Amino acid sequence: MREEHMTLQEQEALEAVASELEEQTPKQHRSLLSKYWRLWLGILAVSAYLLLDVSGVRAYTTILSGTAPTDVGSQAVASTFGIVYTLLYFFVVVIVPPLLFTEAGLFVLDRKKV
Amino acid sequence: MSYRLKRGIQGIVLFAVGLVLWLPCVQLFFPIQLSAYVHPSKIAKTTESIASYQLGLWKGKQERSKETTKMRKHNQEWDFMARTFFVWALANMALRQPESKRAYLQVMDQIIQDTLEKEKKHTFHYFSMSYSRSRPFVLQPARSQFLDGEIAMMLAMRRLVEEKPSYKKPLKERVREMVRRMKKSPVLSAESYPDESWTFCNTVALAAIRMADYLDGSDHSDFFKQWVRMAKKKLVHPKTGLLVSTYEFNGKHLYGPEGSTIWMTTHNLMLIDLKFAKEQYQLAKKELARNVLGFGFAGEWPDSWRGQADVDSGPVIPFVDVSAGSSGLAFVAAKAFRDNTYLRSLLKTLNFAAFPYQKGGKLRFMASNQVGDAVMLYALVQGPIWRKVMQGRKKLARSEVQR
Repeated sequence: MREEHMTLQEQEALEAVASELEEQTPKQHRSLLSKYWRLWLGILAVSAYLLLDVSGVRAYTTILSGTAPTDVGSQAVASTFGIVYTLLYFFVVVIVPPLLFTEAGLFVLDRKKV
Repeated sequence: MSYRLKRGIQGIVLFAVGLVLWLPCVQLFFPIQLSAYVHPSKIAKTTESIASYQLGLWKGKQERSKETTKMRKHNQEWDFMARTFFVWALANMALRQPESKRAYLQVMDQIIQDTLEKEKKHTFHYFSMSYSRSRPFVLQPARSQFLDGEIAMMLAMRRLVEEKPSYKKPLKERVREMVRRMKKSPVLSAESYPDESWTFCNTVALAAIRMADYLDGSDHSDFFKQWVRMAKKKLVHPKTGLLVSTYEFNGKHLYGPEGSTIWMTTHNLMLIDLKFAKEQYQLAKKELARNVLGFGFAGEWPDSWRGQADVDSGPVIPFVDVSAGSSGLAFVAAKAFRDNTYLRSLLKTLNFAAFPYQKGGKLRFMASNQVGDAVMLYALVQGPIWRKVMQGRKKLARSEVQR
């Protein structure tokens, strides 16, 4: 391996160049998934919420009033679904819009830099 | 500074800015047209949809049984209160919409009959939580003021819509028994559970007695004055001035003021002492009403007294202190005292966080339950019955002056 034979000075110089490059330009090699993670998180949350809503999980939110979510079957499973649905709903309504705003803001900043 | 760190800071700042800009806007997506829920003399459109769902439950046995099973798993009282609040709502609806009076009376009678039969067959314990059997009641034979008061009010409201001779005697007997038992207590209150009297139940009883006076010409006005004098002296929480929620038979306070009790109490007191009722409402609003970013709700306890969450208050969401029980009953008081600003903000929260679900002209709130929806319906249609009884008192007073 070549690096094993590098002197300390050479190694430091290499790291400095790498750091400089990192500061000057956005990481082009980064995948779209990790670069726009806020957008993907928003899409994922909205999709999961819609899926649960279509599946009728909304009915299990009765747990919020302290009522058993279902008259038959596992209360624990139904309660978990009810809580997950509620958390997803509030995440979608309260958190997702500011997340998208952040993503849009970062995109504009990146474009300006380029 | 590395690119990653710089971008992370930019992200946090942008997210914070986004949050600050977005949060005040959320309420704009839940606009409330008050006229869709309340009407001075008729039944508003959205409220009619809530009523349709409740009526549907009493027409089909299967779905009602499903809903009842779910509620009874946690609290047998809810099965009872879903009945009483719905009957009270129907009575008000019958006066608001005379063309539907027959249909409403039919359902009211169905519920009253079924409730009386269940009470007779299984005793009052059927509609009480299990601790009603935990130890003996102070007053023997044991009775529950919770059941007596609310059943008396169902019978009275039914008769206020249209006289039903067969309900005359049961109402008279229940009123006589309630007054007799209340007078035996140093704080003029009968127990709902062993050595446990509730302001909620005793003020419902007082309102029912007031209605019986209107219907049958009896006069308990001295008893009402005595009760209010006693309550101001012995049942008021010193730090807040609010009525406490629970006390022993001898008057020793068990729990301080609670939202799930005080809102309904203020509504009931309107028939007994309007000035005192208004004072209590103002205090309750000051201590318990909350508004965050345009969304109104109610806490269960004032800052100066914290109780334990129980089945009446429902789950209390920490930090924001939202209580489902207190918020639901806050609708009743807000509407009763014509506090439209608070009512609008409560409705906004209902649409935002109670997961409304409308299908086939029937509206229900998924985060609620049958009793919650019945309370909501009663809150939105109440008025005509209270007005009738209050006007009756004025007419009676006028005729006394003339005499």
